[in-house]
Formats: sequence, structure tokens, C-alpha cells
Amino acid sequence: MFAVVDRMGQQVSINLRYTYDIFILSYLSLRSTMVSRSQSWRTLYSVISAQIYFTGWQAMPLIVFLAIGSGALVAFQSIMQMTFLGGVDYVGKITLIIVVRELGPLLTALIVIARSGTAVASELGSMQVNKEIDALKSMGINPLSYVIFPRLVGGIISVLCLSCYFVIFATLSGAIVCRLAKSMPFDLYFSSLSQAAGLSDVLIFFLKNFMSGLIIFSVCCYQGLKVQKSPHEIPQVTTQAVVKSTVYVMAFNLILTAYFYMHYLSNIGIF
Amino acid sequence: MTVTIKSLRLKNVTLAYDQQVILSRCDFNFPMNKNCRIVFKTDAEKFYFFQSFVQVEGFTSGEYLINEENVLELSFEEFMHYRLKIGFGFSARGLLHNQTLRQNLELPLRYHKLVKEEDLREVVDHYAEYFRLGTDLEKRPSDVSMQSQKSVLILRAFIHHPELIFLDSPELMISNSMHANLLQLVDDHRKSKNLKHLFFSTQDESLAECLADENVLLIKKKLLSTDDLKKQRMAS
Repeated sequence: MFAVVDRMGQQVSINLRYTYDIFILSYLSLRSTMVSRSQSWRTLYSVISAQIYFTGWQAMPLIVFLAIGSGALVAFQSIMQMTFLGGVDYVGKITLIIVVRELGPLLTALIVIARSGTAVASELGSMQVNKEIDALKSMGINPLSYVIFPRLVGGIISVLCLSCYFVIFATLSGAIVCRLAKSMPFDLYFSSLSQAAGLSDVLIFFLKNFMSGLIIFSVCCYQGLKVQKSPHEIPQVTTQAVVKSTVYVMAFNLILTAYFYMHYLSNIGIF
Repeated sequence: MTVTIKSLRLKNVTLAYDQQVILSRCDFNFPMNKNCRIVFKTDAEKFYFFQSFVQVEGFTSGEYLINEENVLELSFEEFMHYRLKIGFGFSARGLLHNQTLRQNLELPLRYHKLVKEEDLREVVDHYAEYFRLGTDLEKRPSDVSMQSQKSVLILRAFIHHPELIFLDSPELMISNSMHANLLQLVDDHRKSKNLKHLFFSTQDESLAECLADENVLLIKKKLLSTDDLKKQRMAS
């Protein structure tokens, strides 16, 4: 019995330590960028824009495809259930709530982890093996401000933009499904959308995507920098980067949703 | 803040990398204003030794003094004014693979705003002449020969006109015919570009003969100049 508790405690402390390290990496990268007086913004900007191009722009077709599919699926399911309950008018609202609050941030994060998180972890891993990180340090270039910070900023911006695109295309595909399946006029669908979106939705959407971007790229950068000498470590750290960033993103989304759910219940006097 | 590197001293230094001790309780005054060859027993010792001195990493105890200031107590930013006076030429690897050779050479100048943007091209072209890099300059490291890669590694140590340069096996991967160009590069920097102190390692005795004014040996985890060694032998 004690052995199980010991093991659980050990795992918790390892994960807390890991979370602390990730937080410190993000903080130090921000601090080194702000403190560095020598760094030219031109070099920083070029790395940020490259990251946005690879993460944000190149993932667009996949995100659009996934958004159209997910929006249509949610709309179909909502129509099926609401037809029995007599609330077809609420389909737009349900679609928007599910897409904005949950599906959009989560699916976008998963796509970014699969596409860009792995790329960042393996890129940084090979930079370690090829002594590129050492070379930067020897030139007086802080890897935290030149390599890590632009990837964090580029990653956060990309995740936010991709998630916005996801929501737009998912709601559009939902509208088309409602029109085809139930002959629902577009204006009715979109008017139910406008009633559905509140300030708290925008806040949840922004928080989830901002934190997903930060978590994914700080975890993947951290994992990439863990490579010591040998190229065979690169696939190992890449796999760990995927697993850990998925767990962290999922956990954060769950905690935030649970918090807002409790908050909502307490507002209406149930909890 | 502008500084001049006048002295380089180790005080009771222990230097270790990956649990491998390279220096143990070592006191040493580096010979200044000279081309000094450092002789190592193994390649790993050599790389970690130079890397430690440039990046100020791996020191487990003691003091690493530049101008009698212990730089181990300085942060990355605080060490910057010394770092910009130091150049390091890797023996192999160390080029940024997602950038062309030109971008690799431009990076330190651009990052630290040492050269105006409009003059960067001219400066890099001037340096590329030393090793006749030609069109390789516009290619990425994976698309050029090892000699071109190595040339850029050497040039990158010189391009910001440092006072102190560490060169790790500069003869490696470049043909013998290029050795004269390397000597010319060092000579030009000594004459007109403020180079004062050069520490290098080499397995090529002919290059060592041409370049080295003095030898320093790493023996039994201690640094010894040839004079120290002679005195030790006389004493024993």
C-alpha cells in the first residue's frame, strides 16, 4: 500500500518539477529577450515570422479541412437530438458553444502538436547535436532569446490564428449542414450564433489557445534542449514532447472548463 | 563598455564535463600577446576545454579571471563585453544548418549590430576571399564541401575582430594549400584588426611550427608551459 502511495508521490513530484522547469524556461526566455540590449529586433522578427509561416500558414489547409468536418458532424448530431426535443433553432448556438469552447482549441492544439511541436523538438535536438546551440553561445547570442522566445511567440500567435480559422470554418459548415438537412435559413442560424457568443466564451477561447500555444512550444523546446550528444536521442525526446504537451494541454483545458462550469453553476445559484 | 583583455588566469580551477575531469585544482597564467598552442591528449578534452573558456561553463570550482575579474560570477549579459572580444573556431560542426554560409557569417555582426546593414555584404565578401569560398557562400552547409564549412567556422571566429581567439584544430578538413591563407588571416588580424592573443590546438606539426610562439601542455589535469615543464624535469 505504502509502495503505491510512494510511487504516486514520486510521480507527482517529478511532474511538478517538470512543470516548474517549463515555467522557468518560458520566463527566462522572456527575461533574456527583454534584458538583452545587444539583440537586434530584425533577427528576432525574422525567426518569429518563420515560425508563424511554418506553424500557422502551412497548417491552414489541414485545419480548414478538420474544421469543416467537425462543424458538420456537430451540426448533424445536434439536429438529430434537437429534432426529438423540438429545439432545432438552438443548433447554431450548440455548434458555436462546442466549437468555440472545446473543439476548436483542443483540435487545433492537437494538430499543432503533431505538425509543429514535433518539428520544433527535433529541430532543437539536432541543433544540440550539431553544436549549433553552443555556437550561438560562443557568438554571444543567447539561445533563450534567439531560439526559444521567437518560437514561443510565433507558436502562440499561430495557435490563436488557427483556432480562429477553425471556428469560422466550423460554424460555416454547420450553417450549410443546417440549411441542407433542415432547410434552416442562414439568417436564423447566424442570429442564434450571435446570441450564443458571450464575453466568457471569448475569454475561454483566448485563454485556452494562448496557454495551448505556450504549453506546446515551451514543452517541445524544453524536450529538444534535453538532447545531449547523440542523434539517437532526437526521436526519443520528440515522442516525449508529443506525449507531455498533449497531457498538459488536455489537463489545462479540463481544469479551465471545470472552473467555468462551476462558476456558471454558482452564478445561477445551483452550486 | 569597451574593455581590453590584458590577462587570463586560472586560480585553483577544476573543470569537468560529463563527469570527465579535464582540469583539477589548476593554477595557470596564460601567456598573453602570443600565438599559443595548447597540446591535449584526447579530442574530447580539447573540445570541452575550449568550449568551457568561451562559454564559461563546466567550471566546478576555482576562479577564471579575465583582467583579474572572476568571470564565473558574471551572468550571460554581464559577460557580454568580454564575449564580444573573444572568438572561437570550432573544430567541426557548429554551423547553423538552416542558414547559408553568408548568413552564418553575417549573424554575429547583425545580431550585435557591429556592422551597418548596408556594409554587411562587403565585409562577408572580404572574409570569404581568404578561403576562396565563391558561390559556396550562398549555399547551406549541407550543400558544400567540408573544407568550405570549416573555412566558415574559422572565419566566424575572426569576423567581429576579437582580441582573443581560441581555434580548435584549424587544420582539420582544410587542405594544406589553405594553411597559408589561415596564416595570412591571423597575420592580418594581428597587424590591423586588434587580435592580441591566439590559443589553438593542432595535430599538424608544420602548422604548429609556423604559427606557435609558445606551447602549453595539458598534463595530469594541469596546464603547464614548456618552461614549467623544463623546471619540473630539472627539479626531479
